[in-house]
Amino acid sequence: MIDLQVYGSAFACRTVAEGLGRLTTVAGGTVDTLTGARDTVQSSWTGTQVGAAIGTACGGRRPARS
Amino acid sequence: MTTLVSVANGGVGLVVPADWETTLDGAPGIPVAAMAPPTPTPFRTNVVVTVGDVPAAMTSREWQAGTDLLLTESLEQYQLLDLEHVTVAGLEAVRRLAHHVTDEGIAVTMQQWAVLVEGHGVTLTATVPTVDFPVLARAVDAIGRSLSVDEGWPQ
Repeated sequence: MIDLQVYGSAFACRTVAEGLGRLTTVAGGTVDTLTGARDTVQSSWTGTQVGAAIGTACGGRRPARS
Repeated sequence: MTTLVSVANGGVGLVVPADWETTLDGAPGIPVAAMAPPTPTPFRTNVVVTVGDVPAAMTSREWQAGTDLLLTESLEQYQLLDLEHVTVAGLEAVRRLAHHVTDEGIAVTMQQWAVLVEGHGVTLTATVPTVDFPVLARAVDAIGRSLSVDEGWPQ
């Protein structure tokens, strides 16, 4: 059984859609920005970009920026 | 407890802890993304599976050499820490351990398993805030090692 429950807390995404919206944006951007040889390694690159994006979108408190 | 997640028409599977939030088909080429329970850390640990086409003439090693070049060019402070040759479903694969910094300035540790299956590149990328990596390393390693590809996929 696939667990689709949203585990809410003050630090979670407000909604799954919030994370997915960012995810979709990044994935779309990936297709737009990759050209030539980069297309050949798109899946590996997309995994790192989307992982960074949803981790940030769904993370807790933001770090202080100097 | 764990949850078996089967995607790509049942051809690709992985096992995640039952309390991780799992999202299917969130974007083209991303059949599953799973997130660890939230913590106060500003970055939420997650796993992303991608499936994408790779040119038929490209070998697994060429594919991964290109990946290393692109990651070095595109990720801030990217540092490859380890590149291990492994097998997934009997196929040549790699496990990449690396560090980079997100656009928001968060140091993260990334583990990526990548296997090439008849012109389809399958990757599982686990991204963990580096500060949490000592606690979560075993969990994400177990997820990565659970990656499976059914014999006969993608036909």
